Amino acid sequence: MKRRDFFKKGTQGAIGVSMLPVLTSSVSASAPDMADRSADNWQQLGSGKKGIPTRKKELTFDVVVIGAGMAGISAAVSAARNGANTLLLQDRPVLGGNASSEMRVTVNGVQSLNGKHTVERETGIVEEILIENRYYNPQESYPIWDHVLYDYVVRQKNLTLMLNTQAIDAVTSGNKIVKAICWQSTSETEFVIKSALFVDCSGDGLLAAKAGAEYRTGREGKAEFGESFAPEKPDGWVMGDTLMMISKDMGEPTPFYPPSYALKFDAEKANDRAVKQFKEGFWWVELGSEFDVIAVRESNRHKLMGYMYGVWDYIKNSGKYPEAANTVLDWVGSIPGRRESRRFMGDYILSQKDLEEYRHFPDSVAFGGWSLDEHCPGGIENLSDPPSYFHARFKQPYEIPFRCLYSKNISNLLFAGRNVSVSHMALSSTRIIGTCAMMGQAAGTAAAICARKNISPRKLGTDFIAILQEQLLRDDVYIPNRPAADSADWARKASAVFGSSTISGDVKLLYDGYSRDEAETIHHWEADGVNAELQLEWEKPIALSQILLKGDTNLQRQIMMHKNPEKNKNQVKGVPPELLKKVSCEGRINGKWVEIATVDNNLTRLIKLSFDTVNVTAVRIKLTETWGYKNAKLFEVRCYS
Amino acid sequence: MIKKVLSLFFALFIGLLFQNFGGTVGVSDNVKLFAHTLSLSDPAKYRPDTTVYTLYEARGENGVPTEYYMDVVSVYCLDEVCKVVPVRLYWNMMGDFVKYELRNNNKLEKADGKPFSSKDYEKLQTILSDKNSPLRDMAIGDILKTSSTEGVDAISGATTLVIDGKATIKGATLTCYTLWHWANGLIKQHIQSVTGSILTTNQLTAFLETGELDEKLFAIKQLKIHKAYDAKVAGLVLQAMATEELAKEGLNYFEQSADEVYFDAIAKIAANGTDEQVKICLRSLAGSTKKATPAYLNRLALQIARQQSYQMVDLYLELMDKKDNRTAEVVAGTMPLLDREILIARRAYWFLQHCDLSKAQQQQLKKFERENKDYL
Ligand SMILES: Cc1cc2nc3c(=O)[nH]c(=O)nc-3n(C[C@H](O)[C@H](O)[C@H](O)COP(=O)(O)OP(=O)(O)OC[C@H]3O[C@@H](n4cnc5c(N)ncnc54)[C@H](O)[C@@H]3O)c2cc1C
Repeated sequence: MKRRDFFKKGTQGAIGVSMLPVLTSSVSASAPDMADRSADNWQQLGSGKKGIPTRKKELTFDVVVIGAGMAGISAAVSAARNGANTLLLQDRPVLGGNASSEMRVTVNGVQSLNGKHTVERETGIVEEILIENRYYNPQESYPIWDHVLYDYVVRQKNLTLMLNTQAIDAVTSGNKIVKAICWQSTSETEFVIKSALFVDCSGDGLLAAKAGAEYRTGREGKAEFGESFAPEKPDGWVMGDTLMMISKDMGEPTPFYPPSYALKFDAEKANDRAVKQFKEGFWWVELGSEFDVIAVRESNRHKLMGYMYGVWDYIKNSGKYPEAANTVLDWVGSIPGRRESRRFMGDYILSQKDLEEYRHFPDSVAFGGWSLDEHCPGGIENLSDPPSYFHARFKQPYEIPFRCLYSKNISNLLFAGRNVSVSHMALSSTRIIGTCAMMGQAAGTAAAICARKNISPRKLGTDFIAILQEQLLRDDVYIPNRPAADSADWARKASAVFGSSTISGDVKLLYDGYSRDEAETIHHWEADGVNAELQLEWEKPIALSQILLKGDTNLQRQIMMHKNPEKNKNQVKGVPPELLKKVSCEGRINGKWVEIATVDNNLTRLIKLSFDTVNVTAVRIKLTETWGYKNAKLFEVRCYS
Repeated sequence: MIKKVLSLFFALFIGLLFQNFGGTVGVSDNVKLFAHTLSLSDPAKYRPDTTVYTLYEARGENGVPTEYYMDVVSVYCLDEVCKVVPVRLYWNMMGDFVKYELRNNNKLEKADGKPFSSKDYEKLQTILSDKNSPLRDMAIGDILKTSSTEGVDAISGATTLVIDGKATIKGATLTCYTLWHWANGLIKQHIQSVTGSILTTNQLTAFLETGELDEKLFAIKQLKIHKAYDAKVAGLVLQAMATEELAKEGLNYFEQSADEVYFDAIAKIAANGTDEQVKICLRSLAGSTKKATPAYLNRLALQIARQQSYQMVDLYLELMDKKDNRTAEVVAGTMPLLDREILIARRAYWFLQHCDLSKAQQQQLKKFERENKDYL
């Protein structure tokens, strides 16, 4: 539903209830101008004043990001870091979307590849967050995780966060969104937000849909994209929502009495829905819809609660799991996590073949590699099918083009996360959170560049894609088959580069454009021990103000936290030991070495040494200390004026 | 974490029966068997808790260990019920895997419950002998993971293959993984330290002359532990330092020696060594607390003018800077560099700026400064 003339209608009070969002209980049917309190009998007892509080605000930004799941957070932070005055809108009290304490989905990424690298971890913003979480939240508490995210977001320059605020409508002009209409439930305030660019990372995409952006729901048939795993004929099924849970051990037998609404779990017929552990929930407690998964959210939620307790009842009371006698539910979700609803159409629809053939796109901006993990239609109400088909795994990461991340018909609208322009089958892999977050970083960076250049995302994609890709690579995103070639980088123009004693790799690899070891080729330099040094030398003095390093966080090892501590087995707790903790840099100014920057207690793979501009003929980077590993290791060095 | 060998035990008995796989029996006379107790963690377990194992050493007549063996267990799981089979692994005196042996009619099985075929047994020998197997870099969790599921059902005993077929036996990935890590893991260091403690200095130096790279590295390490620094041994170590790896190990050896031995070795390498070897020496010298005399450093500085690469020049001058050795001899050796390519010339210029120079030298420096303003 478009609202080109929202204000006219608004003042006449002509908008009926059907046009208002279903999800927000506070929106009154007859008063779309929600700040109007003229009829209130409202008295401030302290001052004795009577009056009408103004609760309608207009704000203007360069970029508005809707939804603060991991995709939205990545989009907003990257837009802000790239200079755009950015707003991040989130309709829940916490950040993280499916990954938040409200839903507790694990932040997985590219893993279980069937190749030399089984894990090909995402770098950039999502990695920064996961490392911070290991540092600030060693207890792996979900509520603390929420606040790790909160701190990460609120401390960013150029970024405004609004929680409990839902984008409920769009005002459009031509094929552009001009304003987002938002409702902040806690303060009963309506926000009208103008912006040059909108990035819908809300999963469901209410704002984008209201703006008239083209989207699909359901499953494509085999024929459309030649997808071997797709159903013969297209249908309306989407993957479902799921309620999670976490248990704990009481140390003594403790009974469980199911609630009245529990639904019996028919384990005999459950087809691969095996109960192998009692520690965390079961992803297959899932319900989708054949017609409109959004419309049935509340009834599905109720049923999911019933199924969840039903499974638990089976575990506790069927007699089959005496090992669970001491186990009790400690946390249960109340808001189901969401896998799939609207998929918005961009200039390209990524499909199964693109993934399987590892198609190279000139406008790639992200990668994926989770298996084709398509959940069965109907979820737990379709026991005859396995909960997921696990169609196939990948050998290596596949590419995701920028054309999937903006709307084909709304010219200033971008997307990231599970609502982007992919087929249902491709979504069965791309929906994984690490992948969603990388799309977020790409979309946010793109939005900032569009705002700066005053161009549309499409124009950015066709005329300036190299600018976007180079910025992403600089900000530590990895794009398969797209090495960096930044002409502004002085490291590539150095006359001599050498380091202290090498144990593996080569200092030359530090400016070859690749900032990670790929399965078949290495791109690192590892010194023999810590306290290592790296020197770059130029023939003539150059003006420098920043040095960027990419350190080692072991991208073949996972770092996310888990609901089930057992799953940390293969990981290390805390900051990756390989990562450099202390780094400093000297510049040779007029023949003398002068310390120009130091970073201590470093938590990021991308290490930024920034300083006031100096004229140097050489720099000497001192890699003083790691978080535990015996050698200093780098993947990239860049120098900028 | 390397747990040290606890002790050398008694000779068990003389004339031990060696049983090869397949049941052939060989008798070896005059072999003594020694037992060494080790605390090791099972490579197939997630947790690093250690168990005590006995490593048997067979020692030949000449007092040299000929072979080691240890009994480990291989694990395979079927429907979450795991079965363990004892396997005996053999290594040579350097700790390199030689062969495995199943005793008492034990048999290995695959995930589907089928026994190993004779082909499988042969393949296992090939897999375990491959030091560079992809199994080396894999974590146990990679092996146990089935498919990427969203949830928790990812771990199961029924392993699926995630590495190329050559590295494992289908249906027995976990067995291959476990045994490979037993055969090629930390045990090597344990065996080397046992062997090293038994061999004499003469036996060790023999490796320096004829051994493979691995043996040379081993010998140098052991000679350091033996504190063997007489002129002959030191000379052989110096000769052996032909590759970068050996040069590093050699430097470790010399760093523990008396000052004159250390300085002498470095001077010799500086005079004759490759750039890579010299770099290692100069870095060692720069970081060393051993006191080099000005005369020694002056002699070293004679090398400066012959350096071809900028990095080498930089290293030498950094060293002289660091040791505060800006003597007339060093100046004399550095002045000619002002005529070389700009990076080298400029480095020399900056060094010379802080030295006491003659009038003529000062003028030369001024001239350089005038002509190269843009580069400074
Ligand atoms: C139960 C379950 C298990 C899963 N398991 C895994 C797994 O193990 N690993 C993995 O990586 N992925 C898993 N997935 C998939 C993954 O969680 C999602 O695909 C991913 O979280 C999508 O991220 P997103 O940022 O696009 O959206 P979301 O995480 O859905 O975030 C969108 C946010 O936007 C907010 N929002 C929505 N509408 C509006 C609006 N109009 N205004 C303001 N805010 C709005 C929402 O409240 C939400 O917080 C699972 C999904 C589910 C449901």
